[in-house]
Amino acid sequence: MEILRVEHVCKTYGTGETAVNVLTDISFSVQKGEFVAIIGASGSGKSTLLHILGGIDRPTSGEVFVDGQSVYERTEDQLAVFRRRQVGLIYQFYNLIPVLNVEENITLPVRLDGRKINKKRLAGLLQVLGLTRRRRYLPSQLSGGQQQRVAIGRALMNAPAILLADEPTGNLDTQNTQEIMQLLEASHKAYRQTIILITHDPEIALQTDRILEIQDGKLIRDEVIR
Amino acid sequence: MEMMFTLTLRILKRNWKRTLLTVCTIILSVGMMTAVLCGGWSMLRFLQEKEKRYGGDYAYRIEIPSQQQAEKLMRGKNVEDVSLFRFAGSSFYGEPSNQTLLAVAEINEAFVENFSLEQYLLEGRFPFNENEIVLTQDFIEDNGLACSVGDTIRLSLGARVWDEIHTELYGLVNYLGERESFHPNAERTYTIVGIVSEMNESKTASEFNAFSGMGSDGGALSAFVTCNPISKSVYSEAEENAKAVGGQVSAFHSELLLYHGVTGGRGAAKILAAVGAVIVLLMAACSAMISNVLSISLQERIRQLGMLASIGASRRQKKASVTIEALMLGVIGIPFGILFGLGLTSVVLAVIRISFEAAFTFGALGLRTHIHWMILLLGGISGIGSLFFACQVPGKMASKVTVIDTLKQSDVYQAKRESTSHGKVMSLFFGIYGALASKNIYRNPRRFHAVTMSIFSAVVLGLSLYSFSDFMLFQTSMDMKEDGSSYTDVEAAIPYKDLQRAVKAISDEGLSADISYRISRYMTAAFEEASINPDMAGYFINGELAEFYVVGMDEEHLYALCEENNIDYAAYNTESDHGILINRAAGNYGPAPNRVVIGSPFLLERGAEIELEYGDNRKRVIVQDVVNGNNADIQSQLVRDRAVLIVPMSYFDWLLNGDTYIELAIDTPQHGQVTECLADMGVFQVFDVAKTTENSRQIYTLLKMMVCIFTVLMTMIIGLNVCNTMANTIHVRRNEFAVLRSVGKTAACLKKMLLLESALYGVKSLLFAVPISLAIHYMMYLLISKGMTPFLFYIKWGAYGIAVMTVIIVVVMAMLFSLRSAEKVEMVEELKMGSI
Repeated sequence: MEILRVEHVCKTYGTGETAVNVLTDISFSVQKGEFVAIIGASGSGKSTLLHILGGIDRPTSGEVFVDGQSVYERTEDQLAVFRRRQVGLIYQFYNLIPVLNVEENITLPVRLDGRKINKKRLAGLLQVLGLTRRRRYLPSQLSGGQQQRVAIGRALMNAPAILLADEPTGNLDTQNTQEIMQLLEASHKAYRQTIILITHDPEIALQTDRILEIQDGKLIRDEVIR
Repeated sequence: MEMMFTLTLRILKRNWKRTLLTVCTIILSVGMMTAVLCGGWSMLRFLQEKEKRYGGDYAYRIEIPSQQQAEKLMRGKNVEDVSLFRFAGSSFYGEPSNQTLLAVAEINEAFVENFSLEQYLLEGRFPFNENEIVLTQDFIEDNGLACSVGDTIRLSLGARVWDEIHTELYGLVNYLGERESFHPNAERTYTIVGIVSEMNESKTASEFNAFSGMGSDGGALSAFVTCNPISKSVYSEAEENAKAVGGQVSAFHSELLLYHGVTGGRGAAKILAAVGAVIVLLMAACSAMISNVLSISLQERIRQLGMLASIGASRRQKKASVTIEALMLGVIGIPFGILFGLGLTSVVLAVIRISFEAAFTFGALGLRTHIHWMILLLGGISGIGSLFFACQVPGKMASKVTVIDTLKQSDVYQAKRESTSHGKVMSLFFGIYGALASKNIYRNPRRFHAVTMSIFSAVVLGLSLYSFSDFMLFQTSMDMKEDGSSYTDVEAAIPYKDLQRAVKAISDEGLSADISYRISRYMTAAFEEASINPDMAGYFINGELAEFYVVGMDEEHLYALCEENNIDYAAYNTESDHGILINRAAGNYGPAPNRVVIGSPFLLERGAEIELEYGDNRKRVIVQDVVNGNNADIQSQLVRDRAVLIVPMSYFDWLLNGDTYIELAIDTPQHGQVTECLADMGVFQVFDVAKTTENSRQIYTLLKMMVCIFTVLMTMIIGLNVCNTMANTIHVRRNEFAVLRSVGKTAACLKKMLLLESALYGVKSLLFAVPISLAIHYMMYLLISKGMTPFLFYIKWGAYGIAVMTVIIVVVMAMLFSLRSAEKVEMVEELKMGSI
């Protein structure tokens, strides 16, 4: 079942002489439960594509459909709800709220939605992420790897349609990198979670099911590897 | 929303220094507004109480036909009390003269209470019935009477009438110089039950020196009606009540009604509008400053807001983060601000009461802090209002924060091309640090303008208010000696024939006074071009005619004046047409309009003859002595805008007769008693100059004090704002500082750069603030000197020096504050974080 479809997406910054075409005519689709890596050199447009998929940045032209619905036909408030419920975002630099503890950071999207926290799901996530004993810790009291786990937990708390990860291991050492990738793999398998991951590391890309390669804003390769 | 509450609270706790700064800003702002309201209310209450005490606690006066109507009036609409008053008549206790004249008033108990007459009671009590009387002690002593409480006196009461036909009866002369007669109509015997002092401060009772109880069959009387509450309907109530008792409204107590906000005119509305305008201005200024503070706080949380946006926070939720912060800070800041404002009011009013005791303390009545629930409510509302308006702009900014802005940091602290073009001038003087400082402050033009505008506003406002109060004080002090005393303490105009009587009256009172007398007239003379100073051409009418203020002085004081100024008196002793020319005048006499000049209009030497004209009279004066320089001592006593000719009194023999009015200029420390003595004598043109001048000085000194307090408070608020802003700029640029340190920038270099940035804020503000303040200073001068005694333009550079020093202190403090923040930046951590 198709969970994501991107049609002729273009993104241009600036106008006139200073216009920069970051993405040019990107089209692809992702099935539910796929684990996709987007690779490319620095400045190729990977992050921009990810932001467009996550409803963070609007494309200059083209369409993005998640679960059959156009993402950018929504109003700003509807986009916010979309990001809250249907997308999970993980960043290279974690982007946790420093004054909230682990549990509060993980449940943040649920609280923003005004819904009741599913304690069972929370407990399960904390266990999977290995953070049960550290649930009351602040981000400043955690290591990089632990912080990234919290970010993953936050992204998964609402069981989003797609999980978008922007270089989630870029700031971690080898061991932590492995652990994070294992976690992502585990959630992919356990929850049939659709994951789209940006990386410049070929070894990480090879751990996914499919690789999309971006070069100079164009999709030059779409390869299923598993 | 619960999440946003929790989040905001923790952020505030985490950045407790920033939070404390913000709360202090709110406390000061709300405190100022509360102080204005409470101070104004306390002053109003003081004026109300003072007016009740000395003018009487009544709203209107009705003339009623008899005392029976008074009881009916008591049951009238909104009538709390009725004070009754009737003029029983005049009487002479002894040989008829002004000194033995008794003016007897009949009053009831309510009158004693509502007109605060108890304060004047020296002995005994006030009368209960028409057979009892109180007399003033002055009357008893002046007439050498052996009266005391318990004695009986018999009075022949009657009316004083101006009557040409019967003037032979007593031949009295009233204060207008008209002969009058006395017509007795009743004989009364009274028991003296009390002795009172002169009721000079009482507006109604001061005209009387004897008070008896209210007679039941005395005929028409005045009913002073006390209302509670006093409202706008007092006018209709008065008419209604008067009609019900068959009476007529004769007067409203305008001053008291004004102080209660009720008046037929628009005076009260104007005062209320003025106070309202001050509060609104304060609210606007405070809102702007608090808004800046909230924007700073927002700036520091922009990444968080972006992150919240990325996980689905709506615009409302993002905006709520600002609103909730304002609410939380307001919950602490507003109550403390109100308390601070009340405390500030108490301190200021106490200082005023002590410094200006004569004007603000009357026995038990003094200027005190009065607190009304409305003040607390309005203080709270103004605080809430300020916060509400303050969080509109940052709230809107917060709602618009997008994920992509924060991820790419394309918001305020990215350098735009325009900001990078600044710094050429600074780099010339201060090298790379100057260039960096200049470029950095222009990266956020809005923030830069907010800070410089706040410094600019404070400087301009403070200096302008200071200019106004200083000019007014100078104006008032122009006719005073250096030690603050008046050249003349009492001035009076009396017929020449009454001169000796006035001198005797003052002497008989045992008062120490130096009495000089003079006659003065404005007289004109024509001059040829050779005698005219071209720099003072504007002094002359049609290029030739000049006006002199000619003063004929008594011999004794003319001699003293000559002695003091090293002038030979001999010629004036023998020659009545010789005069001293004070060849100096101040006015718009120069070539430039609207510019006051001081100079010598005439080019005259000793021996010059001046043909003076006064109506059809022509009189010659020979200039015996010329005084060209500044002689403040002489001119302060006379006029400043005309040249003065001082001649012996005998010069005016052609004009002087018994009925010609002459001016008395009396130097005396007992100016109040001398004024009273002359007034009692029947002189109605008598002025206590010393008291009036002192009152004016007090008012403007008070104004100056208020200006200083206001300026200090504004400086504190702005200082907090600047510190806050500088700390924020450090916070959002911490990555830059980390990079600068990583490439070898030392702490000293960082300090230099931050100092230059801080200095730029101050310099840019002062560059505009000082010239504009000077322009306003000049405009104030034009406004104040026009229509009043002209004086030369001056600038008190000391005030400008203080303003500049204050700005320097504020920016240095801000720099030190921000330096501490900069030094805390963890280089490694910040470099690791970098920008996404």
